[in-house]
Amino acid sequence: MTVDWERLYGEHAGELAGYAAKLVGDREVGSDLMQETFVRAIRASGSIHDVSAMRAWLFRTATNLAYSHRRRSAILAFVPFTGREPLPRGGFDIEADQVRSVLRAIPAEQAAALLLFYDNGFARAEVATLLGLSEETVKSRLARGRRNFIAAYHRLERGLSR
Amino acid sequence: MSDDELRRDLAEEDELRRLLHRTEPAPVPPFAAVARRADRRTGFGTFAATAGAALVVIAAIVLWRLASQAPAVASPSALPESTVGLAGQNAQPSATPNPAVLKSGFGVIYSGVRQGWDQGSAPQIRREGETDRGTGELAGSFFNNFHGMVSPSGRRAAYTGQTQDGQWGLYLLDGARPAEQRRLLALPNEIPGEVAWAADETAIAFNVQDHGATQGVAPKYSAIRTLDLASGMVNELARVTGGNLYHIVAWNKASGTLAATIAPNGEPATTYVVIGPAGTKTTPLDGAWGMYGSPDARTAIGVRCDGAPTYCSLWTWPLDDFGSRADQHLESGLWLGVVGWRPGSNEIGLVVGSGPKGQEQIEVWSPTAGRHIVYRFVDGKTPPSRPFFRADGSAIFVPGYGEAVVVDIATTATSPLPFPAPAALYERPLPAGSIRLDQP
Repeated sequence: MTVDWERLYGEHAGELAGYAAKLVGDREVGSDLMQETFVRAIRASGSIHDVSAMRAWLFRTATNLAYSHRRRSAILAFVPFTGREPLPRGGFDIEADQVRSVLRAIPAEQAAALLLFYDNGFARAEVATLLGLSEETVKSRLARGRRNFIAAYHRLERGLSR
Repeated sequence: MSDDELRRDLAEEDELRRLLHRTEPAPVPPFAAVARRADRRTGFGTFAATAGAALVVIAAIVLWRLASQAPAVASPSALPESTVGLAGQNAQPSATPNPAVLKSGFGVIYSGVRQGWDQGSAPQIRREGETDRGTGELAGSFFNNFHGMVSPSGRRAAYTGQTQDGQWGLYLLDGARPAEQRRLLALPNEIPGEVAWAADETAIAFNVQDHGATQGVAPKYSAIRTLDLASGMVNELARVTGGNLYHIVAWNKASGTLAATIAPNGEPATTYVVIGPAGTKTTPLDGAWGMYGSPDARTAIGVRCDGAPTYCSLWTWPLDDFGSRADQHLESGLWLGVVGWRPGSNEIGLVVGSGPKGQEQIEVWSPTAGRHIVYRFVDGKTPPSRPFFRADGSAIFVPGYGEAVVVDIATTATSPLPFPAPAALYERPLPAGSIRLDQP
């Protein structure tokens, strides 16, 4: 089957890079993971039989790559260098930074489910297929993720406004 | 669910959706770059099955060749202040170096050249001031960041790597033979973390966790082990279960003392632990600490940040006695990042910021001579990763993607660090360490 990779890239690269960036908390790494996802997709060209399912395939691969990155980062994150601690600064988007921090603070599986469902518009059943889970598990992951996200976000807000 | 509860629930969902839409988009390179990357990995045959794709590859090669032939960017030989920042992803042959600052007897280790296991994508070693790619290349891992520790003499580095089948291991870079990489130890089904050198450089201590653990899923165990470099003998010093992780502060081989912290998975450390001849001593930690052992592993420093209005404080203590820690009483209201211990001294490098909009700078702090400013950042231009000392402690590297500045500590003179032209589109080399090389 011939796949028009350039068209698929044009359609999905942006949302995929944004998704991976949110999941790992780093725009540059997110961009790298998106590129790697497409490289893997291109390499798997021969085994692709259903281009209509490509978006889900891309998101699944990007999710696995992001998990792998977060696992590696977790063991090395002793004292991450920030140059400065996160402080309100001129021109600094505090809310976006808080969202990034919270997504990094909650379990990766919950962050992925939240982003796929609330940000990328996948239905619950699609998230389940994409992550290889039952719909019930996705439902519970979304509920726990939502609770944890909101609690962590409010904790962070209180901390910053102290 | 009552109407009120339903309304609250929907409002919460809307707010969540709004927040998750918040963050800014990540960079998206042209398709040609990704096509070329795929082509390198697969060989021409698989990917060039479509004519359109082949054209894209040719276009990418032409673009790359043009980029390679671009003239060097003229630049002052000394930079009064930082120009380091996220300057885009393509390194061009960079600026005129200052020979009074750069030393060719030292090599720079570059992280994250490219993802994957292709030749040339792993962290690379190049002489200061030169752009020769052939000096050395570390054992790769998929993300190809340098995770390791340079030895106290600066002549060797122990680091982690991962083969393409997923197996992690510990590797040795020797500055006398930078083109050769020696695997010290394979770690089947485990992920290595930090490395600490014995002061006599005959052994290392390192930590691992089981391979099954993922972020949000607690590891089954975390262990600290030592490895004798001559015999290859491995000795496990400690193991913790229940989802906790060890992080090594320092190992004093001579006294048989190792200091570490224990952190619940993904959380700040909660316990300081000393493993020594007299047994194991634990102390609960108050607040969030960053800790760094001195090269002789006798002393540790710690930075504790408490937020406004206190900000950060700097503490020191003998490695085996956290209870006797002393606050060094740097002025209040500072934010601190630790560069590290300055090799060959009892001094410490710090990134110091003085509040929300204050000046940020690199300082060298000495217990006897006080604070010495060596470099000022332009506001908002702090580097994307930790600055580091030259292996002999004579300079500090301020890293950036595709550009970096070297600061001579004695004179505060600076030099841009030359980068080679990219061998592939979207290379992102980032200086991450310094090592002594034999003279050319």
